[in-house]
Amino acid sequence: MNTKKIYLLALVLLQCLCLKAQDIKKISWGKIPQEDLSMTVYPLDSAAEAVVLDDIGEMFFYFGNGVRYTLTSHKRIKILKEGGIERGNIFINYYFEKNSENIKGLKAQVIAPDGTVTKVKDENIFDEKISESQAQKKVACPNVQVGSIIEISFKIESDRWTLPRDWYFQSDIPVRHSQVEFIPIEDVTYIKQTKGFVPIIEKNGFFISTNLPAMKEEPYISTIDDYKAKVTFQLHAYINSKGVYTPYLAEWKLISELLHESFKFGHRIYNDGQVSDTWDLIKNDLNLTGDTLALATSIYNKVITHVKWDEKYSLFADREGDEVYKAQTGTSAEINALIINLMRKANLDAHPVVTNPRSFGRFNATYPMLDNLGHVLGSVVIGGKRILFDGTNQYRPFGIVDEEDLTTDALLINKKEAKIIPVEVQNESESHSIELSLNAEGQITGTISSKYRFLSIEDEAEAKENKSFETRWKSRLEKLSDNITISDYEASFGEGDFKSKFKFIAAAEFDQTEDMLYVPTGIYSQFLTNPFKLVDRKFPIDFGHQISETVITSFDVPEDYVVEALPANLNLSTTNKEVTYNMACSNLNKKVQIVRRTNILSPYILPTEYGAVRGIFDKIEVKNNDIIVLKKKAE
Amino acid sequence: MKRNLLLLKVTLCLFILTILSYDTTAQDWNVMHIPDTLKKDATIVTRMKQEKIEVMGKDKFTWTFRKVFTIFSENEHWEETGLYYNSFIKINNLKLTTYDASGLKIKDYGKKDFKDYSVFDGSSIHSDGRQLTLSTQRSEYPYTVELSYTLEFASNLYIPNFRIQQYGEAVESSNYELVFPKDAAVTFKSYNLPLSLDSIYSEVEPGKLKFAWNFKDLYAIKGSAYTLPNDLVLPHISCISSNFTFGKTKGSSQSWEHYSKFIYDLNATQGEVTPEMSQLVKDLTQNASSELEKIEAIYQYVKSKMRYVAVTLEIGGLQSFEASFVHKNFYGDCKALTNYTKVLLKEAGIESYGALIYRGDKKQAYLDTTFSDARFNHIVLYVPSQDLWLECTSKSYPAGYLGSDNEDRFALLVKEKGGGLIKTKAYDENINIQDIDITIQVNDDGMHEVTYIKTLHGEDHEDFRYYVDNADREQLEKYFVRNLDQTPIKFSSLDIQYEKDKPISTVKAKFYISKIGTQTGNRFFLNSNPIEKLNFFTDNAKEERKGPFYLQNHSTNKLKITYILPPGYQMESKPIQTSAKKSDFGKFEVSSAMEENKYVFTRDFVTKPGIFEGNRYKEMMDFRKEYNKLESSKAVFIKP
Repeated sequence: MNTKKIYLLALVLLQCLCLKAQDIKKISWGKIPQEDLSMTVYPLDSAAEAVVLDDIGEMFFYFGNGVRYTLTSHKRIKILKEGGIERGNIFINYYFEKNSENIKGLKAQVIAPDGTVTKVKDENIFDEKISESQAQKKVACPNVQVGSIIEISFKIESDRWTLPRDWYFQSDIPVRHSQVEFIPIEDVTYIKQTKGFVPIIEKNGFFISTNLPAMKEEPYISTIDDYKAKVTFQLHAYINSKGVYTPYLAEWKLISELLHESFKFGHRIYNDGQVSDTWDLIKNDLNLTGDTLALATSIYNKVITHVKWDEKYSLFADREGDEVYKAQTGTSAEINALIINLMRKANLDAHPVVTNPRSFGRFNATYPMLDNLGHVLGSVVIGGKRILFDGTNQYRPFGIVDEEDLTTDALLINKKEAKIIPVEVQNESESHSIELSLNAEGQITGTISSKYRFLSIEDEAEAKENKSFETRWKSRLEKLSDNITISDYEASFGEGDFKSKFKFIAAAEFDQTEDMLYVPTGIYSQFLTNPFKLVDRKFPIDFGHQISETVITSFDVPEDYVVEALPANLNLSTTNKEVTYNMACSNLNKKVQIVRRTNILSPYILPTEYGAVRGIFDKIEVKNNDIIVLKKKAE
Repeated sequence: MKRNLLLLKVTLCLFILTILSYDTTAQDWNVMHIPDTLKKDATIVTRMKQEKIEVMGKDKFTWTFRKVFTIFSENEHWEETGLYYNSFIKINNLKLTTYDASGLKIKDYGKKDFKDYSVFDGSSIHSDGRQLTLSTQRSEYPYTVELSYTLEFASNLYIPNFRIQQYGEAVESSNYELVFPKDAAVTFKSYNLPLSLDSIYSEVEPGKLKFAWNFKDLYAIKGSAYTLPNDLVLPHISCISSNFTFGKTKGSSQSWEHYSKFIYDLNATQGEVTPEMSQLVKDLTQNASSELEKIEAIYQYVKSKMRYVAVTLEIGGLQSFEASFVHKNFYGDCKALTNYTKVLLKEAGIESYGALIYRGDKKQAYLDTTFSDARFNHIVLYVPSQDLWLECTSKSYPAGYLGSDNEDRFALLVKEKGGGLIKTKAYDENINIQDIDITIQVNDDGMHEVTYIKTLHGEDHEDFRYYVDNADREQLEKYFVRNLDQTPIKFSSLDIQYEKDKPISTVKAKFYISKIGTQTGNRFFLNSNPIEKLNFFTDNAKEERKGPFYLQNHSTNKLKITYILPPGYQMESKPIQTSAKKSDFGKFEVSSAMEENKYVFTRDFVTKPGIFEGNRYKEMMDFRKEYNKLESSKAVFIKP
């Protein structure tokens, strides 16, 4: 055999070995490669204060008093800057209630760049109960300096086999290599779902990702967890003791059956005995003329004005309707279940709609996951049309939901049946008419008449009821002056809208010289200043809903003045009309009027458009602050 | 006839039964019975309150508490009940009842209804502090809450104050009792009590004393901006014990010197020096040629090698880890790090003392020097031979710099004998300085280039000092931008540094902004100050302010902005030439000038602290408003 062939063979073998070494990784306790010890900066992110070098996990399922699993974790973190030294304090959460989870074999050590090892002792480890069901193991690693590597290993034994822990690849510092091996038992299958914006390789039961950038919180997104790279697991099906294949919540149908059987869901909605006392209390005040819309509205209003939301979202209602009505507070499921049950008692076609609040993570229609459901809305069919409602705010008119409910779709439940329905895009609409003038003392006074529709109604209605409208408007007008007096405020509901009107006096004067008067026209708008402050942005902009704002500012030109200069009209728009702006100014019969309309038609804007969106809001800000120049009439 | 008699008998019986069943001792919580005068400015009205502190011996006292109060509108503070406990405090007989506006009971709650959380105090990695919490929030107001419980304390070290009133709290009637055996030597001092007070003193049994105070119809005290420290306004009674035990250590609060000795005794065993520590001190100081150099070498070691970790369990709240533990593990909390530094200094032949201090808002740090009620939350180190202070938890402060959250307040030196109060240095307008120099090149394309240099001394330099060491470039940029009035469109450069041995930070940056003014036709309205306004808070309360007000800020703020305008701009009007004003609240000088094609705006503002009479409030606000107006002024130019 010639050497060439042997050489070639060796090369091929070597290649295979290298390929394997690149993806699935094995690390041994205490054996740190020299390059890691001497690293002073992470090549892919020189600003990083620390980096996770390796994060190796194994989820191993077994039978032992029911199905259980262990999560073994072996992690190495390199400290690169002063700011990273805090990472010497490590926290591990676990469920201790009913002995559900235990942490075993916890060991940790700190290795200096010269190889010296400081071991973590018992006196550096603490255990603390942090709530009714969760506890936390805390480790204070000794001798952590810039350049140290913290190595930690532990095993969590858990009985939570139907919903095993998520494995996060990404962290708020860069991660060089993260992998988890998932070893289920035969006969038990899981849905595995990877999420995030970075590649995750799945291979032989391993999930691997490398060279992950750091992931930090930013404003105007639903939640950071939606974007962090991770893999989640949910039990799909198992072979039961009789050898029968049993699907577990694999379809929405199975979830809806589970919910229907549940005492805290199905019974709360479909068993009218749970609201009989309340029904007796309210039935005489209801609109029973046959107008189903009026009936549904009156039931809804009765409950929301009597029961206050305790700011907790829930899927299951702990208490029955009568108890909730009596206690006058409830979780989101308790309030909405109460309303639905009462509507059904009144022979309306009402059913629950299950979803997840936006800031908890998007509702995912493709993968039925119980974990993904944290909230219940109500729906009722009136005149062939399905109307959604959410009774968590007593100022919210019937038929409008909350911003948190505006996921793209949700799960409609009809007893045991389930169906995915779309959640319509909603609009937040405000229009204001501002009439300005100067009073005898030279101060700026005016009247503001406003109309609110859809999502914008509840905030102004609430401000009227709890008398906070003065604070609200003073803060809205603070650019004009920090000394504003509000008077003659009146507000009321109209046909599908809410109107308000009031007078104001601002201790501010128009800028003026001997013969010029400068009238500012930026009195109020949501966009008087650009809401986008970041220079750069990685995530999509998620307004959650459409926004439309119209502001008409007008004033009478004083007797002895004429208009010297009017601002020019302007139309702006982003490429696909996600954001549009129109401004038109006129001067008729000595009355100057500026009409400004801002529309955000697309609630969801990709990060590639951020620069353009920020740029347009900068221009809108400048235009909203235009000044009108008046000149004194020549003698 | 018979029937009528029977009827009469029955009616009489019923009548008598009704009278008997009428509970004349029933308390009526109907809100209609609260006089309107009490409701003025009140967030809550306390209908009734009973507090009793009974000292049993040297290491035990009980605090019995019962309070009924009516809440008028949504208020998180009063609607969330939180009860703190730890290994020294036990909560018994906890009961909470809610009543509706007419006084009918709604619901009873017991201990099992409260949620039990561990308390995160912001710094401890582990402590045994826990809290029971319950929210009573409802949708219909007003409603009334009745809360009662007994706390058992296993030490007389900290006897709580009787807090007669909080801001926004009106009181219908309340009663306080303090009972103690003569040899427990409890003393008390009352502050800001209303004149309409009833106090009783008696000897309940031989050797056992009782003091009681009764209050009726106390009007609510309204909170407002710039209030004096709470201890100078709100009525309260402070109690201290001259004879207590904490763990195994005996102590006394009889005087500051006694309390200082107690802390000294508690930590006396924690200062053992190991051979390694001794060698370390030799190595660190071998090249030092003066005492000051030795101190700086040791302080530098502690700053660079140690990290802050707090573990507060049982007496660990007041006793530090041993110095040898800190040496081995390279971490500790304020007590441990201060003790460790002290031990190293002693090994180098330098005497120093721990100094107990309240770190944080100066208003909370206020203490009555004539009454030794210790309310400290931190400890620093004082070297008398150099009159030098050391903040041992800092990773970067220069020796001698304690920080703005430790300045100008009383600290208690911890000594075996003769420990007393000593005041930390006050940071005035010569220490707190901001000096900014900005040049803006105005460009016709709307992207104006800013060259920015800011030097910060004292209080304002601290944040940047921290951020340079602990934040990455992105966070640093975000923090810098947060303090500007507008966001730059893009950065060309950003360089932030701090001086190692002085409390000074400098920021040098080049960036582009777009919003310097507005244009109408061919007129251009230029903002005098587009990015660094002081913009003081001004208040427009209609009614005259009743109580005195307290200003804390003491600093110098200098700014110069030079606009370089493109050719052809003609100035039509200028807002100000020079304007200067002096007052008891500070002074300012503002001027603007046109130099060829440059428009220059400068201001120099010095704030002065002090306590002032309420009737001068408007004067102070007018002073600020005048400045705010000058700062927001615009210069008008005609563009070519």
